[in-house]
Amino acid sequence: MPQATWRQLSSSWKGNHAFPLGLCDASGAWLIEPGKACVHGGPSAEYRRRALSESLRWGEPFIHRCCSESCLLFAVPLMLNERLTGGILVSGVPLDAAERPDGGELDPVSRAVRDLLQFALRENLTNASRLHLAREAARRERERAEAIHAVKEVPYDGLRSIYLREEGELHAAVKRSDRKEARSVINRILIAVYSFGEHRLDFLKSLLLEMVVMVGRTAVDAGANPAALLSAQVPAFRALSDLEDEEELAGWVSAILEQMLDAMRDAPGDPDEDLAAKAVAYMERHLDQDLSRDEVAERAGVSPSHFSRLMHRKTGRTFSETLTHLRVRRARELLVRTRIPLSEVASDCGFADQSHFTKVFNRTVGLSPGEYRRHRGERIEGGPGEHAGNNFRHPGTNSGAEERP
Amino acid sequence: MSSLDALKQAVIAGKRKDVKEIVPVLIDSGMGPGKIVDEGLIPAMAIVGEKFKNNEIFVPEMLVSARAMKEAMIFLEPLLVKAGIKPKYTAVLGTVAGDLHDIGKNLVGMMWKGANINVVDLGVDVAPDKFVAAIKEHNAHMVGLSTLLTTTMPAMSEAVKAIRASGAAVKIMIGGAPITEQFAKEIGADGYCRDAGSAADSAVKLMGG
Repeated sequence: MPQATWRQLSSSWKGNHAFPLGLCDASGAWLIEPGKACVHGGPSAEYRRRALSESLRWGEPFIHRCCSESCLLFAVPLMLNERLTGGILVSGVPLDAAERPDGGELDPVSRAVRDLLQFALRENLTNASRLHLAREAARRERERAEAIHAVKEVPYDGLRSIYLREEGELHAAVKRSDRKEARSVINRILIAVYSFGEHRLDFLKSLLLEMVVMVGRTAVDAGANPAALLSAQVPAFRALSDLEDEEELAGWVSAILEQMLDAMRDAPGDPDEDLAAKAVAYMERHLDQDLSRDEVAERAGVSPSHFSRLMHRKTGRTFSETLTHLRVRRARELLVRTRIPLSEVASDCGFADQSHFTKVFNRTVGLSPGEYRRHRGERIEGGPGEHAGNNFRHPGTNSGAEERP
Repeated sequence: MSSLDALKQAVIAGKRKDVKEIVPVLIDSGMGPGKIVDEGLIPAMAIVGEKFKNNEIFVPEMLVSARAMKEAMIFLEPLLVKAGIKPKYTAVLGTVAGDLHDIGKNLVGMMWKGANINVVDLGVDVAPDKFVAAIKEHNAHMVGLSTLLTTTMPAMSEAVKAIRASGAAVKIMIGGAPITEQFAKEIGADGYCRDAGSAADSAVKLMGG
């Protein structure tokens, strides 16, 4: 920096600011030490060099700790085109100087930062466009970070509530095999998904992936065939990461959703299955009572003989076999998940007494209830965790053999 | 296939790049911008809109078609203005203050354009006085207010109040994920649209077309 310029800066600085001003080279070595040294001995050369590089990075003076907890330091980089030649440093600024005075627009430190930068720009001591680009980059970075933060906070909650609101209708539409209505419900969810993820392809992809999984889960709950759904989903999931623009993504979403709708159509609601499921649900709710076939048939709204045939066809078991199966399954859950005495497990599951319970349990599972509790209780945290309704839909997977541990 | 048919197919399939190639060729061949819009774009969007309304396609397919149409309008709009071609109805459209979501609104805008309504899109986060000013400026027949969030439903009510207070003879239609017919009645809107698919039919009915 020309000496005349330095003298000009020093004199105007002294009149306006109370902080000591110094000049260093690009490595942070003092060229002109501040007249009034920091009371703590002043910043090291490494601190000064870092103050320069940070100012370059952010495009404006970055305020650092100077040499102790109670002092501040900032610098304006001096540049010759792209080359950093040194810097004007202000050090030993007391921390409390950064507090805004009553009624003042700027605190003394911010005012000093502004004046120093303006001086350097006015005297052409630094690369204005380079600093401007750095400030722009920092602004964009900050805005991106804020956007990401906003995205983290809002859309998932928003999307979840929209999905929860629509799930019931989607469930009903799938159950009725009403493809158009299902599309209409999915479209309402898609509008929300695209609203949140628009213009950010990767984010949109992840929202769509989540939606496809949610739709799939609802479809399975409503009776769609999980295997058929999975065979539609797996290849599509693999292809997703390769999609390059929204046109391709639009094709992908439509194709997978249509395939899923196909899978739903191929597994239309079976009225007999609904009846059987209703009957089993009733039995599960009243397992602790003495249930008769006629009573359950009446609850399901069919004649006892039709009910017997229906149960056999849908579950592969007679009514009493189904009842025993459900009672043993409930007992297994209680044995593993709770510490209630065996006699209570027996009565909660509708067995006449504990010896009857032990006999039936032993015959079905291959262990006594006490042995089962000891073995499984050690191995399984939280119990079997199966829901009866889910198993019921696929009786083939629920054979007697499975009941043996 | 004539080039107009090719344009239609490109819009229906949402092929933006194809549209970008076809439209300048049509213009260079001497075809009027009105004809390209009336016989190419509007029938194409009408087909897409009809499919969307009947729940035959998904939102992303509609969106890519809309974008393809927008691409064509970049070439055509200046020519249409020059030729002084104006649709029968004008509608102002925007997402209410505090809400930055625009997909639902854009879909409605596309459906309306497809029904040959001149759409003045004010964008998102639109303050009530902006709606009022735009309605007056464009002499609009209808205004569409959109919101995606439950939190901005009160802003919708504010916008309706401001529009009514301005005395403008305009039909107000509201829509968006949280909106119900009951809510529309409560805040004094003229119409409610559950989804973008039926937006064009509802709008034309509301304006007495």
